[in-house]
Amino acid sequence: MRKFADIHLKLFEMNDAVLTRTAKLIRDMGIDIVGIVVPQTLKQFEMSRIRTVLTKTGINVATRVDLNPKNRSQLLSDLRSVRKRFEIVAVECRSHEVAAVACRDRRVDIISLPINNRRITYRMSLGGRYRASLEINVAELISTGNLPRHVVLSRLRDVVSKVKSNHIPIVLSSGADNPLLLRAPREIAAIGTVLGMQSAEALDAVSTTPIAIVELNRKKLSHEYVTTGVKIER
Amino acid sequence: MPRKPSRYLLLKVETDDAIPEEAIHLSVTESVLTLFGETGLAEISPRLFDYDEKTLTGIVKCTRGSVDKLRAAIALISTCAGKPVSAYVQAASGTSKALQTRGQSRSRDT
Repeated sequence: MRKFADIHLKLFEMNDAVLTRTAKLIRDMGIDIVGIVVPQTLKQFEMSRIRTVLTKTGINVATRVDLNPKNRSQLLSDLRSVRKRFEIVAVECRSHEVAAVACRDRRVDIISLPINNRRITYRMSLGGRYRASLEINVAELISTGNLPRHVVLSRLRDVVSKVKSNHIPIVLSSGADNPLLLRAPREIAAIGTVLGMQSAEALDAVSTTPIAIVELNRKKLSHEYVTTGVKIER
Repeated sequence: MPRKPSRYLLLKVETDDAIPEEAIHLSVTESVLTLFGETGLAEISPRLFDYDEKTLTGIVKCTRGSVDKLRAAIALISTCAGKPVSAYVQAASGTSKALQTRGQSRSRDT
């Protein structure tokens, strides 16, 4: 049976009531692995409290950090400080300078492009250098802000067609900032098909691709891991 | 004329308040209409029935080839009768009877 993941949950409030409701919804929707965005400055005991509330319902929790650097040097210094502490590292590219570095740095797992900024678009020239996966958040389609939904749809379809032609993995996530913005994985995959993905590709974007990212990073963060293909056997 | 094959989806709505059946049906129809237009609505022809206001679950019928489209439209529902909601499909089946039994067993569990 296919396992599903939603690796972008950035809750505004993280009190026990919100977390319990979120956990119940996640379980009902059939999501197995969830990536929760935690601030870089969050204390260790707070992080373990969040993890405990969510894991109580049988959900596998991965910690994620969203970086929003202004330039290349800030991105590199942020990556140095967070890579060993979080299971998922995502970068929102605010400029082409940041995108060019983030897309080829092996410490970056996920890249997202701001949908409301036309100047930052996916460039085909970067395609061959991509190591990271590109993330599309369904929340951008649900609450489109001041942009009409058809414009957001058109931009996302454009990104998907370019990314597909470069064989870059796509991750579809909810991007929920409150429990009511959560969506079930098969519904998220259905949105992927609306954006121009094949049915199987869209299902992979909510299951195998994000799960592979989490599993690889957990392996890398373990004490036995040395480098690709090398690990310490005790 | 042969009958068109249908699929049935067990729809669950998550919200803080009670929502009447008409409001849910209207939200589903409007979402399909916004996303796929009138031809899409005619092709999908969604119909809500067996809705339970206590458990906020109902069954949506659609044509067989349009399940993905209906799921996408359901995912984009964010408000219903002016209240914020999250709608999702709990199960899909070829018969409504299978979903009715599943819905009853789920409501017993909760």
